[in-house]
Amino acid sequence: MAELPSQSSLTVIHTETSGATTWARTSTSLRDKPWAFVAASAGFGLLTLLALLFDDYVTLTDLAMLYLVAIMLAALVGRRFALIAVPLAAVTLNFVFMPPRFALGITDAHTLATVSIMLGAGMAISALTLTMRRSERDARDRERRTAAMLAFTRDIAAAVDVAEIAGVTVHHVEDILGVGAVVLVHAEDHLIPAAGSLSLAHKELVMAQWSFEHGLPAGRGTTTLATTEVTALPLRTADEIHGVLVVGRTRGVRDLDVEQRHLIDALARQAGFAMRQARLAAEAREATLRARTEELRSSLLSAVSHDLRTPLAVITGAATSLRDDASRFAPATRAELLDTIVHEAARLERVLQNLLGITRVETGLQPTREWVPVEELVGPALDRVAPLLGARAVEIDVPGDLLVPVDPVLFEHVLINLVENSVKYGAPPITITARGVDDKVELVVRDRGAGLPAGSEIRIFEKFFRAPGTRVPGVGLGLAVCRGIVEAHGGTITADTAPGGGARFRVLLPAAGAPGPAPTEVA
Amino acid sequence: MTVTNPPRTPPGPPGSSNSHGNAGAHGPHGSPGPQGSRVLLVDDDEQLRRFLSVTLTGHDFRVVEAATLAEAEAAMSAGPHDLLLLDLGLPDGDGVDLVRKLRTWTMVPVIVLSARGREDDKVSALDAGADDYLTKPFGVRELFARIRVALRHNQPTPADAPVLTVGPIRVDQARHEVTVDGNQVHLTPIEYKLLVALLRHAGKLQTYQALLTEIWGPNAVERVHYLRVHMASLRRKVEADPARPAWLITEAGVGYRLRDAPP
Repeated sequence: MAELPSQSSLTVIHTETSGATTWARTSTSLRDKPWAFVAASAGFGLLTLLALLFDDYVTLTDLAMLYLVAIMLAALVGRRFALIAVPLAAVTLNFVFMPPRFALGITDAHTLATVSIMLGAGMAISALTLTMRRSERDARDRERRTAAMLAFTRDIAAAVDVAEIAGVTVHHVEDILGVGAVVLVHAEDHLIPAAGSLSLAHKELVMAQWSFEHGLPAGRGTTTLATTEVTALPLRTADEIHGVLVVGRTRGVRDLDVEQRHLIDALARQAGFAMRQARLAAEAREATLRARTEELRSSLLSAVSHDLRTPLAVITGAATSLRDDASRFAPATRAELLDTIVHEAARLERVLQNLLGITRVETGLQPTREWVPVEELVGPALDRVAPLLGARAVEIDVPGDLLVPVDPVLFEHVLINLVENSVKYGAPPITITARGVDDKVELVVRDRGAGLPAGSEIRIFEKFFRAPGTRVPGVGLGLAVCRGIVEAHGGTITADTAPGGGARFRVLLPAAGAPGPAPTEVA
Repeated sequence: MTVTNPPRTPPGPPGSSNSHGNAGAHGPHGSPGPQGSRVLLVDDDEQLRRFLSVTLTGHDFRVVEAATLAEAEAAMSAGPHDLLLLDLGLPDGDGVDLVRKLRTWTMVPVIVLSARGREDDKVSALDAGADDYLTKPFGVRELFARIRVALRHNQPTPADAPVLTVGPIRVDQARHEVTVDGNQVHLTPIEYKLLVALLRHAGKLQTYQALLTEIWGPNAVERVHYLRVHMASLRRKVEADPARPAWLITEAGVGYRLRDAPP
């Protein structure tokens, strides 16, 4: 029995229905189990010995049943065992237990029948067992494949870009096959690794490049460059190739079996689809972004050109009047024209500040936070808008010892813009109040005008938002700058119409961990 | 700095401030500086130079113009100047470097011209030795106020003057007494030091760093927020409306300035 061939090889050319993938198949169908042969032989010998000892107590029929059980056991181990066990049992039964004992030969019809039935039953049992075992193995394989595919599909669905798809593919290939793998993608005229630990020799890279260009598998186990250590599989969809999956050599001598190959093929196909989806999604995103940037740029241009041109027109007009027609004007008119120039120049400056502000907010602000008395923020801001405020009353109710951690230079813009907003769209008196609320500082700027147009409470902080029907000129950047700066400080800004009328802007800033009272003695 | 007890004036139209005394013989934007002070004007923008040159000449200054760092350095070594008006962004380098270089051999007052929002530039120019700054765009009134203060501080200042006065604020150093509009106010030792430091340099910007060093000594770099707290409490004692101070002015992100003339 030990002479049995331990390995048999067969080579099958497996062609997929698509015709694109050609695998040369090398497979092993028998397992190498010398210990099983020894154990089976020993078991068989022991059975025969026991039967001899209890010769007087067992009938030939009992013995036949016993040998059938032995055949069944052998069939469970392997088909080949069953094929050997059936004739062996028949011969042993005949030689040892049937008259004439210890001689081969069938003397009567009864014995012939017994041996024949035993042979038949043995064959049937072994065939049945085999079918059962095979379908069981198939089911297990199917289940494993399905599980692997499911896991892969799940992971690849969550991957958002080419790099992640490559990562997921490599991870699963390495997991299923236990070999190194790498996914190469096309970038700047050559293939670069997107994920994976397998490093490729120059020859292997050239082969991957070939696979990429032709959309065909190459390398070991294929019909192209089969002597290469690694296998390259294109990640492709019907009309494009997105990358190449390169799978390293399996451990041990065995190649991938046909099921593993199917699985890898399926994985590569899925990865190809995923990459196509990712590319399309990225293109769509880019297009949307371009459209939005375009839209922003045009609204910025129109708003800005209006907001810069209007004061410029006024300044030019007033200045040329003074230059060319100075003698016609009364001193009071001249003074008025000069005031207008100064006023409009200040307006230009504020527009520019907000333009710079929105640019800074959008490129990511890094406020340098310092503990500053709120009062010290209000003063300079009001100084800056003093010309705009004119005679409008501003009521301030800010505790002198209230500190807030902000970037004083940046935060000045928030107050300036809020007050400017109140001046332009609201009515005096403007009130500025601040108070500490738990770990936060609340700052409220309120006017006594008509309040906010209903439904604009949120949109009012959007860039270029202008309340419908607004007649006051403006770009609609001031409040967007406010929100940007407040949010960069980790705070929130909200707007509503106060009970009793008037727009109310509420800034809430985190202010945990205020420093202790300042020492009053000189150190 | 000579009038002891003028009426308090809240911020308001400039016309209302005429009753105020102020430093020296010049009004807030009357004829500033000594006759014929020499100003070196460094800015790469021709229009700005022209405007400043015309304005300064009209106020009896003698103006030398420079458009680049190289021209400015040449002009500095060619002749003495009483004041430097220096734009920071020049085509051939950073104005801060010029300040640093000048400070190795001259204490000529330097007023830096800079854009709004560039507080870091201002601070580094001030750290390098600049005396003050003007944020573009600025009005002539601001310009002459800065020039006047800068020129005055170039003269030796009597640090130990027994009485320091600005507007309604009066400090009798000998008696350690502070009055506002004639009413005595009680300051903590730090508030007193802070007020005296600002009074000594009335009209001139004092950076946080300068004030910290003056009050707590050279090792007090980390206490800006303490300084702010003391300033807030000083304002409550000195200012009529501490949220809209008339005298103790905050230059956000840079420091403080005690106005030497009513706004």
